[in-house]
Amino acid sequence: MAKSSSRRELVPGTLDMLVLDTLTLGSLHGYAIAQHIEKLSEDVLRVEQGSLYPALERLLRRGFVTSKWGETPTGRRARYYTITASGRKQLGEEISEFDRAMLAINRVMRRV
Amino acid sequence: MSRLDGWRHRLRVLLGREGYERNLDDEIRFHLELDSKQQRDGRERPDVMSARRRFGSVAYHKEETRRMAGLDLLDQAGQDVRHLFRGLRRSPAFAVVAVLTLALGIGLTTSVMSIVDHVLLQSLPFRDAGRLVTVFERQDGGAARLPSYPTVQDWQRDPAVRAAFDGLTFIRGDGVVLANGDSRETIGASYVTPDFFAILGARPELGRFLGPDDELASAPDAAVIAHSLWVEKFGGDPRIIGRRISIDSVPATVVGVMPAGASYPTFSSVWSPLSHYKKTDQITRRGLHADSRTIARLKVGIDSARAASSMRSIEARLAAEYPAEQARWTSVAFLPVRSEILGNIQPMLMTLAGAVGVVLLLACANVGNLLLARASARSRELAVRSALGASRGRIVRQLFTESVALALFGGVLGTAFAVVAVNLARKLPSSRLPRVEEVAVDARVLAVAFSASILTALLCGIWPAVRATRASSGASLRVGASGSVGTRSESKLRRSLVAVQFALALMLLVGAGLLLESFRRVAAVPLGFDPRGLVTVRVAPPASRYGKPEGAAALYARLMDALRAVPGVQDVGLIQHFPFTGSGIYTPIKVDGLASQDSASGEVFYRTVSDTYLKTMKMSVVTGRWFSADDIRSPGGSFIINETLAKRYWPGQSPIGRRVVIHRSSQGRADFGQPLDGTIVGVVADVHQASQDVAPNPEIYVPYTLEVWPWVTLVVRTRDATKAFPAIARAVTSVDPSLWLHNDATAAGFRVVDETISQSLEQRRFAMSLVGGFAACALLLSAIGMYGVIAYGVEQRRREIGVRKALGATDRNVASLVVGESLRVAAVGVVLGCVGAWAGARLIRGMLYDTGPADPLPYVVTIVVLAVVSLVASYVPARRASRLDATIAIRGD
Repeated sequence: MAKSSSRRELVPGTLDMLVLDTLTLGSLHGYAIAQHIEKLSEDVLRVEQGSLYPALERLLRRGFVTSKWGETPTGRRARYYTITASGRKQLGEEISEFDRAMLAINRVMRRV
Repeated sequence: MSRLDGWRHRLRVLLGREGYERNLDDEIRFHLELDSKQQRDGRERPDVMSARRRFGSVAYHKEETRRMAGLDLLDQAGQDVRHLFRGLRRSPAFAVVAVLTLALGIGLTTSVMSIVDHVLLQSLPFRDAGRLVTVFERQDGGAARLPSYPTVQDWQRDPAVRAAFDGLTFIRGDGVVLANGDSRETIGASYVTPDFFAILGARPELGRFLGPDDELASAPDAAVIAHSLWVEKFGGDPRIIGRRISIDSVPATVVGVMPAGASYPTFSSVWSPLSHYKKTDQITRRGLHADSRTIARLKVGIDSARAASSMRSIEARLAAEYPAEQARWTSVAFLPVRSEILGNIQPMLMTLAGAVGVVLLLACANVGNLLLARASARSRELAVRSALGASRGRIVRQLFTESVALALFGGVLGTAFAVVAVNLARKLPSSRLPRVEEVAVDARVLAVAFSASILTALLCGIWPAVRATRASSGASLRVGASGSVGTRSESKLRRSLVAVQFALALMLLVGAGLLLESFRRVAAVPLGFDPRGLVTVRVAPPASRYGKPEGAAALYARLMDALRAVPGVQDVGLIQHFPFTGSGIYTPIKVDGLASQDSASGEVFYRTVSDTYLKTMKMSVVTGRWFSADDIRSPGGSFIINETLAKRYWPGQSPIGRRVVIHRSSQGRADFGQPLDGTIVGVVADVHQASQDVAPNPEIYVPYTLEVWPWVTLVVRTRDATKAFPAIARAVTSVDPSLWLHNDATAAGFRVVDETISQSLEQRRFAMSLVGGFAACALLLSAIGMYGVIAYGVEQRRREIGVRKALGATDRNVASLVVGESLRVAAVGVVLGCVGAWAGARLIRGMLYDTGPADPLPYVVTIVVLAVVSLVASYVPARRASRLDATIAIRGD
């Protein structure tokens, strides 16, 4: 168990939130999601790209996203992820949750 | 919606395992390819290395993804199962013994407890059966009798009685001939009032019960029949309702079927309205106290003591009003209907329940022991796996799987065993086990037995795993490597378990021994007659032609003559109620010189016999004489009594020449109850009447011609009882073809006396053989346990033994070390077991005959047996230990 924690993203749940947020743009495959997150976070949240896939699996299980195999514009087979209605709802909740967490972190940081 | 999406996804993952893997590979490959192209930065070739770096470990992320998908648990479960089978294949003896032990424990417990529960504890098919009681009248001297119908009617009108009971009803019993097609058969009938069914609280299985309309004189004869009669005689035909049957040559209409197990009184197969009962004189007579039942339903909140006290005043009033019949019968007694139906089965069933409980405990101890042994044998394997990174949870789960699997196998096998055993038990005659025909494996009992075994398996399977993983794995590894005494507490625990097994086995063995001893002593009790070659034939001549006593007596004499002429027949006699058949009739007795009150418990068995009866039975005369042919020809005032009666009234004196008054006892006759005056002319040795473990009752014999019974039991001494039937049947029908007999020897009218007597011991034999069987199982299990512990101890102490040998210990020393250990464990078990056995034997005292709970013989034999068993069990390990090569043993492995 100890090994895996170092590879986790900064704040638990952040990656899920970022993925869901990314998918509000439309159906995307894994690599596109990774690229977008990287850009979005301006390399601040550096995570291994591979950890995207467990996160996607988690979201699939919870029914926040669905997936479907399709073709890329270049004609390659790829798995596309789409956010579901409950995914959107979850995203809204997680963002406010995240804001609260950030607020708390900031307060602590300032006091130190 | 979302939840549905999620579950659909999970289902897809579960079902398409291979597809899932392929997709994951494809997806990651796609990602890496795209990324390595993206990372090219103008270089010629895609930057695969950089993409990989950015991605992280493919294997790790895949594993994480699988974990997210829940596939890891599936994989591990699969691994556990594979491990399980591999492990069990490697030690099949362990697996087989463990599973069989559990199956035995669960199967025996479930079957026996299902039966006990059904027969003893489960409610009878009567609403609130606990409140149903049979009512007896009681004399202040202590004797009890069945109340007569006029008395019951007086009770029913009494306000105090009405306040105590929800109902009280009289049941007249009689034997009737049921004609169905060509067959005629005597069955038990009950004549009841309609409130009987409401008081009983049963529901008709089919049709309806008797109602007030059926009582009307103008109503056609209606009958409710028993479930058993319906099934046996009418094939369970649902169109039975409305069918005409013939009872005592009178047609009656079947209106309902009594549900199975609800036959009350138990002798009854048919219920008819009391108002239609033909022999009215038998229900109007206040002095008639036989062949009936009075039952009542206690009001809620009224116990039998309060109910009894509420009947004091009416009984006192009746005693004053009818001194001849009721004087001194001033109180009542209640017997729960449940007890009446179950009879004296309770001690036996409780004995079996106790024994089977011990077997279950022992099975659990044995499995626990096996699992502990296995865990310690594998402690090194577990330590290695733990050192190689298997998590503690993982190891515990693996052992968990193994224990649960064993428990489940054992449970399934045990359930099958229980089903078979219960089905066998259902075939037992109800004389041996009442109400057994409806028994089924009880789910609750099964659940309890199952849980007990699973719990044991889990405790003993997981505890070592937790210990093994908690201890630093290094220590465990070292312990395993050196083979030194590192697991002392564990071997101590195992030795205690074996001691407990020995104790439990001793309890069962002693129990079986005590039952065997009791059986031996009961069977050795002299009968007072010689049953070998004796057969009895019950003949009930039709009353239409042999209604007059003289006619019946002449018929009986002719029957005896005809039977005497049959080849192979040595002697022929007759009596009305033959011993060991459960029938008999009492007469009050008045002894000259003693007030009649002093004969309080003074009701004696009344027997009408022929002069040839004594010789046929090979009974013996103690003093005086037996009846002569003259006594039969002109029966007068000569009576003969048994020793018990002689001792009761004339202890230390001769009863010969004493005058007594008894009463005519054949209820169908007009002269019923009339006094018979006579002089005692002889005393015969006691004959056991009910069974050998019940002391004989006082008994008085009169010539059969003095009071000619409406039916008779012919007693025939033959050379070969089992072959005698056809010739005897022919002889009987040659006298009068209408004397119908069944065509086979199993018919109720024909009995081989040896078999009847053997049947009277049946319950004892049954309990004894079951407990004996349990004890044998227990002995085997304990032997296995002992062997396991001792063999393991030798394995653990290899080095120590090696050192001892190196220091000069002989083979003999070493062997006696091992054997001594085994005997020490056995001794602890024996001490514990003796205490337990003594306590247990006190609990089964009801089953013991002339054998105390501390009867030394079973204890001594058992202790010797257990000592031999522990010697045998330790023989192989002791041999192995004595043959150890010191150098190899010390060096270790």
